[in-house]
Amino acid sequence: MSALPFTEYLAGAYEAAAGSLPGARDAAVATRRKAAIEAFRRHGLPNHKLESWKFTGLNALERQQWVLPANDGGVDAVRLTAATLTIDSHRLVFVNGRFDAAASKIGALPKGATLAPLSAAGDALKDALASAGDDRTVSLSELNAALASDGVVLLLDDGVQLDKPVEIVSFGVPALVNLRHLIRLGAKATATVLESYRDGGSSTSAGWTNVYAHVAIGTGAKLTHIRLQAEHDAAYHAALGRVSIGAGARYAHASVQAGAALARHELHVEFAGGDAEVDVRGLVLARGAAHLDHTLFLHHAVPDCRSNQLFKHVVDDHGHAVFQGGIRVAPQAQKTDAQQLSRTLLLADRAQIDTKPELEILADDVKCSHGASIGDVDAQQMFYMQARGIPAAEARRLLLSGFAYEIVTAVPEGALRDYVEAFVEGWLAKNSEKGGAA
Amino acid sequence: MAANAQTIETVEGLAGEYKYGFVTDIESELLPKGLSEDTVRFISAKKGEPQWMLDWRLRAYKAWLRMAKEKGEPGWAKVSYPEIDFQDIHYYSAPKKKTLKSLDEVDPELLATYEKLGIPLKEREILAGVAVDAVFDSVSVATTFKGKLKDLGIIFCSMSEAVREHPELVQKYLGSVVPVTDNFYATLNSAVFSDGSFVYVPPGVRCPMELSTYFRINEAKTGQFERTLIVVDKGAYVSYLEGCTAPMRDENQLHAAVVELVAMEDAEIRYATVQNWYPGDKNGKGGIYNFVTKRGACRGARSKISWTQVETGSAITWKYPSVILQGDDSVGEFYSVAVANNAQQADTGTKMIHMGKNSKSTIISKGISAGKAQNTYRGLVRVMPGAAGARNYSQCDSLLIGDRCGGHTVPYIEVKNRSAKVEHEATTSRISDDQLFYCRQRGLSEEDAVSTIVNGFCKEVLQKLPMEFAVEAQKLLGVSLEGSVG
Repeated sequence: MSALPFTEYLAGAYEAAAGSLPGARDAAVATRRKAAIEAFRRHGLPNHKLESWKFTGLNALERQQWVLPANDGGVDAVRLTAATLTIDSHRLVFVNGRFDAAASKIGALPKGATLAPLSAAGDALKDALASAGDDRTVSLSELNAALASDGVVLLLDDGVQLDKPVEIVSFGVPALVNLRHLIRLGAKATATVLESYRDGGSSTSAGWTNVYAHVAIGTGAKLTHIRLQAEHDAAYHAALGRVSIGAGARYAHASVQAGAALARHELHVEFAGGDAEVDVRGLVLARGAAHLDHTLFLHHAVPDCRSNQLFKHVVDDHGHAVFQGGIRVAPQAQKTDAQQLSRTLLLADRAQIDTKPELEILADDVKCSHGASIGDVDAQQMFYMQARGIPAAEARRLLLSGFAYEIVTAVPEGALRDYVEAFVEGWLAKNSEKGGAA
Repeated sequence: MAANAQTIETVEGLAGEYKYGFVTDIESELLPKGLSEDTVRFISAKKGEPQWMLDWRLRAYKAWLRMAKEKGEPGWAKVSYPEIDFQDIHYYSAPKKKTLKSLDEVDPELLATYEKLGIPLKEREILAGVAVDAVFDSVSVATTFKGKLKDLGIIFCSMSEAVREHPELVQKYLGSVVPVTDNFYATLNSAVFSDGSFVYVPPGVRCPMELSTYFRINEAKTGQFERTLIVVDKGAYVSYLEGCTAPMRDENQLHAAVVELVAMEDAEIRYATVQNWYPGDKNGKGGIYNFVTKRGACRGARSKISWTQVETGSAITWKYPSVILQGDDSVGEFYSVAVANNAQQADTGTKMIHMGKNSKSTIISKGISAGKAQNTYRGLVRVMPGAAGARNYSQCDSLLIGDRCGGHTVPYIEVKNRSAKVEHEATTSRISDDQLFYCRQRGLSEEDAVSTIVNGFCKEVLQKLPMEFAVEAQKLLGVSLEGSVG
C-alpha cells in the first residue's frame, strides 16, 4: 500500500516515466501530458457518487501500487496464434504497452491510408492526445493521455477503402498499461477494426489496462468496429471511446466482454450529420467474481439518424453485469429512430445485474423505445428440448449459444465472425463443462 | 402533421387558465415565518401533543439541520427551481374555528370553497357514501361517517387526533416505513408536519366505503406538511382516495407530504391520488412545489399495495410512490398518468423493492408532455437475493405534444436473484399521423381527436381508479387536456 494518495502516486509515476514516453522531446506533447496528469490529480478516480459510475467502483485500483510496464520480453508464439485472426490482416501487437514489431505485420496500404503505432505516428500523436473532457467522469482518459505509451493511429483519406481488417492485439501484463487509439475516416472511406485485449499469460498479479479510443467517421464513411475483452481473470480493464459520426455514415460496433475481474467499456457516440446509422451491440459473459460494465451514451444531436442498441448478458457464479444505456435526443433531432434492448440471463443464485436505460428525449417526432428483460434460462424452452431427447446440459448450451448468437451476427461474416464465434462458444463450452444447474 | 403548429397554438391558447384558482378568505391562525426549534415546539404544543411526539419531531429537526448543512436539497432529479428559503415559509396555519359537530357549523365560506371545487360534502355523504376527512389547510375541520366506521372498529381520523387518542398505534407505526432520516423533505416533514389522516383497519375487516381526504393549500405561503399513516391489519382491506386542488398564487408554495402504508398478512390497500394543484402560469411563475414521499410496506405474506395516481398539477412534482415487498407472495402495483404542460416539471415514478419470495409487481406509467414541460419517469425495480421467484413487469410510455417539451425515462433495474423474472418496456412517441388522420376522417375535430387519442393512451391507468373517483379523475384530466392538448 502506497503511503501517498493514489493520484499523487500516479503523478509520481508519470514524472519518472515522462522522459521515455512517445513524443517526450516535443514541447507541445509534453505540455499536453503535463496538463492531463494535472487534470487527473485534480479529479481523482470516478466514484459511486457520480451517476454514471453508480454501479461500478474502482476502489480496488487504489489498493494496488501500480508500476508502468518494463520494456522486456515478447509474447510466446502459441499464445499469439491463438489470439489472432487466421486470415490476412494488418496486425498490430502490443506487449508491455509497447508496439511489438516482431509479432506485428502491417501489409501494403492503399494510397491515402496511414496505419502506424502511436509511438511512430509523428504529428498524429498530438491529435491522439487531445482531451476527452476535463471532468471526473472521464478522468481515466486524462490519466491515459498522460501515460499513453502506445496505441494505433489509423487515418484514411476520402474514399479510401481498406479491404483487410486492422487487427489490434494487446496482451495484458502485470502493470498499468495505457493504450490510446486514433481512428479517423475521411468521406466515403471504409474500414474494419478488431481490438482484442488478451491475457498475457503472466502468473503473477494481474495488471490494469486503460484504453482510450477516439473515432471520427466522415461523411458517408463506414466503420465496423469489433472489440473483444478477454483479459486475465484478476485483471482490471477500463476503456473509454468517443465516436463522432458524419452525415450518411454508418458505425457498427460489437463489444464482447468475457475477461478481467473488473472491466468497463464506456462509449460516447455522437451524431454530427443527418441520415447516419449506428448499431451497437454488446455481450457480457461473466463468470467467477467478474464485474463487467457496458456504459453507452448515444447523442442524437442532429435530425434523421437511426440507432439500435442490443446488449446481452450471461451471468454465472457471483458475476455482476452492468448496463447503462443513455440516449439523448436533442430538441432539433426530429425524425430520430432510437431503439434499445437489454437482455440478461442469470445462471447462478449469486449472479447479479444492474441495468439503467436513460432516455432523455427533447424532440417530439421521434420513435424511441427500450426494453429490458432479466431471468434464468426459460424452463419451457428447456422442457421442449429435453422432451425431444436433447440432454439437459446440451439443451442449455444450445439455448445460451442462441442467446449470444444475436450479438455475434453483428460481426461481418467470414474469418472475423468465426473468430468471435469460436471465442464465445469456447466460453460457453467451459460453462457447460462446469455443469451449471439446469 | 400530428401536433402541428396550429394545434400547439390552440393548446397554448387554452392553457394557463387554471379553473380552480381562487383564494378563500377565512381568518387563519398563522405562525410567523421561519423555522427553528421553537417552531417545532410551537406546532407540537398547539396540537397538544404528548412528550414522545415532540421528542420525535425534535429528533427529525436535528437530523434535517444536519442534512441541510451537509448536502442540502437533493439535486439528482431532473427539475430546476430557485433555491428554497426555508426561513421564508409559514410552518403552521389553522382555520380559527375548531371543534365542529356537524357540517352546519363549518364556515360557510369554506363550504363555498368546496362547492367551487366540485366537492359538495353533503351530497357526497348521502349519494356517494364517501366519508370525507376534509383537510382545510392544516386542521381537519370536518370528519364524517365516523360513527359508521367506528362500529366496524375502523379508525379514520386526523393525525393530531390519532396522536392523542391512539398513541400506541401511532408510536408503533409512524416512521416505520419512511424513517425520520429517510430524505431531506421527509425529514423536514417529520419535524413540522401539520396534520393529515390516520387510518387503522382491524383484522379481517373490509372497509365498506372509499375513504377520502381532500387536501387543500389555502393560506398564502403556508408550507403544507401533511402526514398520512394507513395501517391495515391481517386480512383487512381499505381503499383510500386523495385528491387535491389549490388556489392561484404568485409565489411558489412548498408541499412536502409523507404517506406511509402498512399492510399486514393478506391485507390490501388501494391508494389513489388525483393531484391538480396550481401549476404556475405559462412561464412557470407561481405554482406548487410538490416534494412528496409515499411508501408502502407489504409486511405480511400475500399482502397487496396498489398506488394509482393522476398527476396533472404542480409546477414541480417530485414523487415516487414505492412498495417494499417484504412478505412472501406480496403484490405491489403502480399505475400512473403524469401530465406536464407549459413550464411544468415532473420527475415521478416508483420503487419496487422485492424481498419476499414470489413477490410480484406491476408498473404502468404514462407520461404526457406538452408546451415546454419536462416529464421524467424515474423508477427502481430491485430484487434482493432472498426474493426467489420475484416477478416484475414495467411499462412506461411517453407521449410528446409539441417540439419544445421533453419526455425522459430512467428505469433502474437491479436483480440479485436468478429465479427472478423482470421485464421492462418503454416507448416514446408523439401522436401518430395515422391515428390523427383516422379520427379526422371520421369527423372528429382535431381537438377531439387529440383528446380521444390521449385518453386511449392513458386508458390502462384510468381503468384502475376506483369507481367513486373515476368521474372526478376524468374530469380533472379533461380539464388538463383541454388546457394542454387541445
